[in-house]
Amino acid sequence: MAKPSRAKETLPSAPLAALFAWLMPGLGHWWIGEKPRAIILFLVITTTFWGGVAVGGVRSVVSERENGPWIAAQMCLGPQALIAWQAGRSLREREKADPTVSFKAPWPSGDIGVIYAGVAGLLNLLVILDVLARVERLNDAARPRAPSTLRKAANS
Amino acid sequence: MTWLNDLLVNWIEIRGVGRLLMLIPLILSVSIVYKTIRCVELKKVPLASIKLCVMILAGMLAIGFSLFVTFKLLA
Repeated sequence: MAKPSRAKETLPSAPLAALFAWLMPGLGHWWIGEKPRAIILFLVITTTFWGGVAVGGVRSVVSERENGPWIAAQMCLGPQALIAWQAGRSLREREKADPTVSFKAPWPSGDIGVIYAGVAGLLNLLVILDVLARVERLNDAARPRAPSTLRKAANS
Repeated sequence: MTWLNDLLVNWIEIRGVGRLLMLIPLILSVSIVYKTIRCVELKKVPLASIKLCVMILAGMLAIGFSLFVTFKLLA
């Protein structure tokens, strides 16, 4: 197991680690010293999200009006999802300006793209929860234990 | 960067068995992320991910097949 290098210097803050994990998949793990794990998480989650966008097209995949609650799952991916949403919005505005142009993906490409991007967002939510648990474990390990707790641990 | 623009603006047409095959990369990515989180040693991740991927795929195919058989029997 890779030793968390940051724990030796200062104790990581859980909200900051969660924020980093939301900003970029794996950044929270990178910050607490789990660098190889962070690289794998970043590559897999980012590829899944942009793979979904490539399959369904950015206009259909990240759309708050057409995809219902999936947008909430996609937004768990952070700024990448916001960029895709903004790009999709500009395409929808182009469609409004010129009704002869359509970027809307037909079934099933659009639905597959939505599911890919949504699952990528949910996986990042899992990664955020994992980084919170790891920070908690690091902080617990570094925290001095009260003498009564030590006695109980010795007796059990 | 035109190819990137084309890739993101236009969609990819998926037909027939391609719809079912699109399940494999998604399950693989779920398996890799889950096992990356769960495995203490990262060198165990590739094999564990493939095993989990096969298990999920087999499970989903079994559920799909049993629903198909039930539907046919009730029809």
